[in-house]
Amino acid sequence: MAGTDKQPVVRVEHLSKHFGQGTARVDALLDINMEVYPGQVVGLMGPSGSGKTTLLHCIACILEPSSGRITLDGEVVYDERWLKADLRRLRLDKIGFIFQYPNLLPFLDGSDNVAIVLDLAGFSAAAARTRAIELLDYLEVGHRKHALPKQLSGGEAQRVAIARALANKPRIILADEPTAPLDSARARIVMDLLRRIAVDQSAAIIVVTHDEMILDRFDHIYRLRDGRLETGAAAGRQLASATVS
Amino acid sequence: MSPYVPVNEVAAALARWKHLTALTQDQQETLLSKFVIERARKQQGLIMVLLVIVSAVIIALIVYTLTMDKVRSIATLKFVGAPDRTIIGLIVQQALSMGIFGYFTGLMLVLTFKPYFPRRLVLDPESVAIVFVITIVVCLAASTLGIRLALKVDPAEALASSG
Repeated sequence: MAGTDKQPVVRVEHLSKHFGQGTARVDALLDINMEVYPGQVVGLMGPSGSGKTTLLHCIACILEPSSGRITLDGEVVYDERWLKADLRRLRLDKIGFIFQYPNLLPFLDGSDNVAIVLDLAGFSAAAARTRAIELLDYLEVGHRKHALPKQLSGGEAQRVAIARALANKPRIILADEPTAPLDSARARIVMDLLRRIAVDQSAAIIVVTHDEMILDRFDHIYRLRDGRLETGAAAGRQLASATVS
Repeated sequence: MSPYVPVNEVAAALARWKHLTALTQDQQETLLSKFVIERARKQQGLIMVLLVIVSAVIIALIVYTLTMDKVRSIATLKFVGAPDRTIIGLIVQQALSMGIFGYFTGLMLVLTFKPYFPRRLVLDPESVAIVFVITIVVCLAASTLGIRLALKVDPAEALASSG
């Protein structure tokens, strides 16, 4: 397992989330505990309605949990209440997010879609553009830097979206079904890319997925069912080899 | 009229006739400016106020519609950490660029077609500047509807499954 000797970048302790009150109360998450270390790629799996997206929203600081504790990059951000006033700034500084669909801004070209995150983070326009082009080159879509999102293929657009998520060098990368719109070959390429990023940038990556074909790309898999963690931690590679044997 | 004729006496004699009045130059100017030009000015002012209101409503609706079209982009921006002032700035920029483009297009048309207009209109630089200021104020006011919508957008909408 990568990096277990280090401090976890993401630590979730006794996290619960419910919606509604009384008889209408729905427990979306119940007593979730998880840790993700630098360099790890972790899968979050489960059937629809199991709570994996809710958990991702809580870790991404866009949904307030009902109780528990969240520590991101060594900083406690939630402990029965948000401890940070500016959650958007927190996301900008610490979290990169890869959406199911690339969600690129349609009026900006590839490099500007990446540079906008750096602009928001306070980089100069020139520095933002240089870093954006470096990232696009790193993800092998540098030749498409002037293309508008509608001119990009699905795989290229997803790579630009990954470059945007990496722009501010976040320690945490959250991906919501990043391989869903891709065929299996491209899905594996994207997962290999995420693994390379996790190692190169010492980042913790959490991937929500339904795709059983990419199980062997994860260091850990957390399975959710009815808001509870079904299996604590089972190595993806071990799972895959067990299935094969 | 001969300079040797007493003006007041002639005026008094004329006033005795029905429908006839003798007026001095100053009196004629007052009559023209107060009852003819002033009325036309008020009518034009009323039309201008109505046009400004209609323009504000149209700009507000356009900005609102354009903002609705960009809800997902706004949600994405919020998700990646864009502060509200950035979102507001984008919408205000859009409204202002629309207003400024409209203003200069309108000014160009006015200057082009003014000589062919049946009535002579005075277009002094001061009025042109005042209209520009009004345009900016109207655009800013009209963008509030779009800004309200944008500020309500939930960042989680960026995660919606539709592509």
